[in-house]
Amino acid sequence: MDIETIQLFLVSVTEAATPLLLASLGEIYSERSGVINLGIEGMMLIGAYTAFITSNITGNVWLAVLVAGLAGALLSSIHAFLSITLKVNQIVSGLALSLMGVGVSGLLGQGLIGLAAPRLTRIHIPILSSIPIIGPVLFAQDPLVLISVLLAPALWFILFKTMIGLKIRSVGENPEAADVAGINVDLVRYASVIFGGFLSGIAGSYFSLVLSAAWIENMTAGRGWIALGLVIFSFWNPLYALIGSYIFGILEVVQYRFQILFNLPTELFSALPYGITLIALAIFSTEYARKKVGAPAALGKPYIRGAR
Amino acid sequence: MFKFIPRENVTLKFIIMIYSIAFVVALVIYGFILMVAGFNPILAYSFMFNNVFLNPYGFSNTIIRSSAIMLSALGLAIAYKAGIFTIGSEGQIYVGAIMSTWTAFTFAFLPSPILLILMIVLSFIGGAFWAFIPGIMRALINANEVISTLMMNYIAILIVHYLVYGPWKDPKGYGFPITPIIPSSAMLPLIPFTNIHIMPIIGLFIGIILAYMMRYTRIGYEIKVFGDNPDAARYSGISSIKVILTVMIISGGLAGLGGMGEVAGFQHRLISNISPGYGYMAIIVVWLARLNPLVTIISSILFGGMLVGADVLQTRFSLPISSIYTFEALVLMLVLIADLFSRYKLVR
Amino acid sequence: MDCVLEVKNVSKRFPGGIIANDHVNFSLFRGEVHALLGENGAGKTTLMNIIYGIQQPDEGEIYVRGRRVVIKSPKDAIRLGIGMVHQHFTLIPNHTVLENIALAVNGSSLFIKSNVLHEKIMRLFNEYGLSVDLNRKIWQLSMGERQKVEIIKTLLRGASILIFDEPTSVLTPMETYGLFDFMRNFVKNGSSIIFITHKLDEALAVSHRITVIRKGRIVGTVSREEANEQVLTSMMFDISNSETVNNKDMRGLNTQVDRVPLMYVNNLTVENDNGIEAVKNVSFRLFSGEILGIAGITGNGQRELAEAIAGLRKPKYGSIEILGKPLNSYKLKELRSLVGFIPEDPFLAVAPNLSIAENMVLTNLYDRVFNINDNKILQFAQQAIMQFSVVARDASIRVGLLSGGNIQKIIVAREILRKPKILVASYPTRGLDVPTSLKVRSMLKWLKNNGSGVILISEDLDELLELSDRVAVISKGVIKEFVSPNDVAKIVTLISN
Repeated sequence: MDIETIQLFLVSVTEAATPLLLASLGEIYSERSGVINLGIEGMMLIGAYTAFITSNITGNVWLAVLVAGLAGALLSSIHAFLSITLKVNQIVSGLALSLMGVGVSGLLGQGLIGLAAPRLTRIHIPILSSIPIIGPVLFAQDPLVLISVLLAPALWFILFKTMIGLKIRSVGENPEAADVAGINVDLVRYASVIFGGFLSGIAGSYFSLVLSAAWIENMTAGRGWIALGLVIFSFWNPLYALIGSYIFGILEVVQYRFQILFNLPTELFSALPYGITLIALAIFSTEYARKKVGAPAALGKPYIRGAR
Repeated sequence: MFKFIPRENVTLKFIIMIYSIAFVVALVIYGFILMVAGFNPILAYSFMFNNVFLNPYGFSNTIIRSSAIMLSALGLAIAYKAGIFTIGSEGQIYVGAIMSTWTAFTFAFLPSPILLILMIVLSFIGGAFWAFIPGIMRALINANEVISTLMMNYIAILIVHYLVYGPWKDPKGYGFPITPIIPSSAMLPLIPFTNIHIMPIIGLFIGIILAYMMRYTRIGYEIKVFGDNPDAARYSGISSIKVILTVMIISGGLAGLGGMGEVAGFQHRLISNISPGYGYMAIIVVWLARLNPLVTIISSILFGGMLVGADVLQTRFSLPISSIYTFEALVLMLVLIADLFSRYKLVR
Repeated sequence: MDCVLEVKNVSKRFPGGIIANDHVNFSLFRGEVHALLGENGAGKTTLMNIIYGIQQPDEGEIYVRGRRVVIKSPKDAIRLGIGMVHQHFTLIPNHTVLENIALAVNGSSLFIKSNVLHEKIMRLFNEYGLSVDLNRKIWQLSMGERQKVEIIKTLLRGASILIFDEPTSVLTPMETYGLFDFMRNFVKNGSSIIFITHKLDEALAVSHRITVIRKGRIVGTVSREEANEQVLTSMMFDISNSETVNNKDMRGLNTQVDRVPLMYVNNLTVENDNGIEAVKNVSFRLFSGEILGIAGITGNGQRELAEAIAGLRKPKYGSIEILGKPLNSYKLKELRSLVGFIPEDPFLAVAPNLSIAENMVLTNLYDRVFNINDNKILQFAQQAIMQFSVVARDASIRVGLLSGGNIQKIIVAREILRKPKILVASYPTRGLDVPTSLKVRSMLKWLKNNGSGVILISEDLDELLELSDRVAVISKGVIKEFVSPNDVAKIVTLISN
């Protein structure tokens, strides 16, 4: 195996990992505030669609990425409204959102077939991109790769070291205590969910602006659901999400490249992320683990002041 | 500001009115989206209605398509009554499909009624087992069932994927991810004078049995109490483990039967996407039906109709099938809101 | 003497005719620890809620440092320098001490760690000995340490008037001494403390003055020098009700020879949710045809005792025998059908979205597998509604729509009318109006006369005296003595010790 192959392999891994990372970083914030958003897949597809069409019409790729983020944010605000203000069941609301995203993007995407749109091109960062092996992988890629890799530690810092992050975490752990401390629980949750939607939208833009040259219906192919698993696998910690997304990326790339080598079914590799998440869930639901690295205690429960 | 206070007098008429309004609003919004996408909504709606419900071929297709949704939804109705939010029906359908295919080929020498009964039993057990794992995780260590059943879904789909691309692939299938056709002794009989297989009828009976169970038996009562107030359930001696495992086995087993219906009644073989999301549609269906088993049956038929309609629209107008998801999502969201307004009213 | 807080003529009524505070006058001086002493339900918490802005008075005025003020919310109270340390802490278990403090106090800053905050906390540590490890998680701390965190939160908000609501209920004796040390230190520089309690000895240990409140009215205020146990006891309890006593015939301990023991409790020790022993080495027997009253102020182990007998809490040591078989040999459903339980918290015992009729079966599930919805249940429900005057249209109404008092009626009706062999009734008349309370009392007598054995846990002394054949006084988890209900003075003394 020569350097070329390794580099190609690593590049593929970053391409697989980046959208997962972006989406799960967003969902981590949402779930840390107590709201689970099953609509990631839908928001990614809407993001992919709006990115493609914006890029096609305006020619401005970065505008397209931004619009994709806004579209994701808009869609997730519906979920926020349903589950925070109307206190509807979060699972059902999120599923509806996912369906909506898949449906609308499929419907409107009809008009995109056969079109081309300017794509996110690779940027070569001087000096850094000359580092052997990892140079081209990290520093001669489309900018979203680097952005996502830098975003992870930044979001970790915000979540654990700043007051904003503390407020988000408090709202997700114990909304009553946060309420008593004077924090507007609903507002914090809205902000977190919408932020999550924003990142999911951007994650979606990665598919239509980087990974694919043309519009394909349902191009995210279930990555949104993997991102949900990734959130748990990374114990709601942005740094672990960084590592986890790259592990999942490796698994995704490996299933196609190395299947012949080991004569194992590709599906086994595809199933590993889900299996690992399942085991992680089992381990980290026990009372002991919950105290150390558990899910936000109030995840999934609507907050009603003064309720039993 | 505004407050929600519980509504006192909720008559059936009022509920029907609110749900109908929600449905109409959904039609309007979706019609608007269709227009934006370049399709004529009125033409689409009337075409769909004609070909789905007024056309005998369309109607029988509707019932066939609603089969797996109906069975899964009936199982979910029970699970959701207990407050267990499993979304694992999709994977359980796949596992049921696997079991019935395997049984059909392995026991092909058995006479038809016995083979079918064996397939029913094993499909049920397969689906129940697939639900049992997340169930035991939830019962013993309170692991979130939404995530665990979601993961199980993906694993099940991948197993089918492996089987139909690999060891079970039909050598005469031109490389498509399908198994050979199952022996005719393994095929479900049709309802007389129709070309609808009998699984929906089985579903109807199961629905009635479940309704009876929930209303008149102790286990149904325990499920309701546990879903309403787990503290009261504990106080009265109801075992949370028993309730959780019971509802998971029922919901998993029924979804497994739904899978058998697709293999033994519709496709007559196992294919890679034996269920194009029926398990997830079941969630919406049962929510729309407010967890009532008998209304669920009607609701599933409606959804079956929508699927057939989507097919029809695709053939005639080149409308992508995934667009029907948008409509379903709209209906769901509006119904969620409608449900809220049927229970509470907005007061200054 | 400088008056930092004065409450004049404050009254508060609740729907149902309950007068929680009746023309209350209360004053707090600079530099004093002032105990507000009274039984549960006497009105202490309501008064403090009014001072802290959680509730508004119907009439009366509040003065802080001489100025008339209106306190509409806790924010107003905090601005006036009033801080409250509640009985139940609002801390986030999975977060560290520092994070909890920062959340409460540091809202507008950017980072969690800040030098300014750190300095302020250190100052508190040094001045008042309140040190805690800032980096430990709340769930790792003892209750005493958690309370310190709550105190720090309150002090950092600038409180010079501290209200402590039953602070010692969760503390070990050592931690209680620590708290009292803090209190004495705190008032040395001119700050003041209101100390709400129902424990006489604690009020005497740390206060400068003690005000006794009873049934919503202030009985009087005494200084530490004037106060002692007898004085305070006579202020807290109205022992002039000897009329009820004379009517009781001397049903002493002698006639139990021919009665059947329904339950044996042997050396029972039960832990509470915090791992502290709430019931210590308790032994007694319950006979058929008797009501055993358990007297004592709430929080002395009654809840844990009741839950252990009802099978809902595993004892640490000791054993319970029900109808000749060990308690843990019964399946809980079977136990529940034999042992009725009216719990302290009514929401444990009903399913709010089910109808009244459906709720009537909740404790009788043992021998029914089918036919859970038949006519007999409907009739039972109707009987309950009628006999206990439940305000409901019919038996098909969802229990959750009923008022709290009516929910209590349903539970009491169900547990009594189904004639369990044993009934554990915790505060059965709580939240009920007078006519219904009387009905409940007569129904308990009816149940007893039918051969059942009843354990009655109550704070209502009149009720206990009227109904009990024997009275056991529980204090700090220990049953002191079995007393005849005629011996009122002795009962009262035992309770307040």
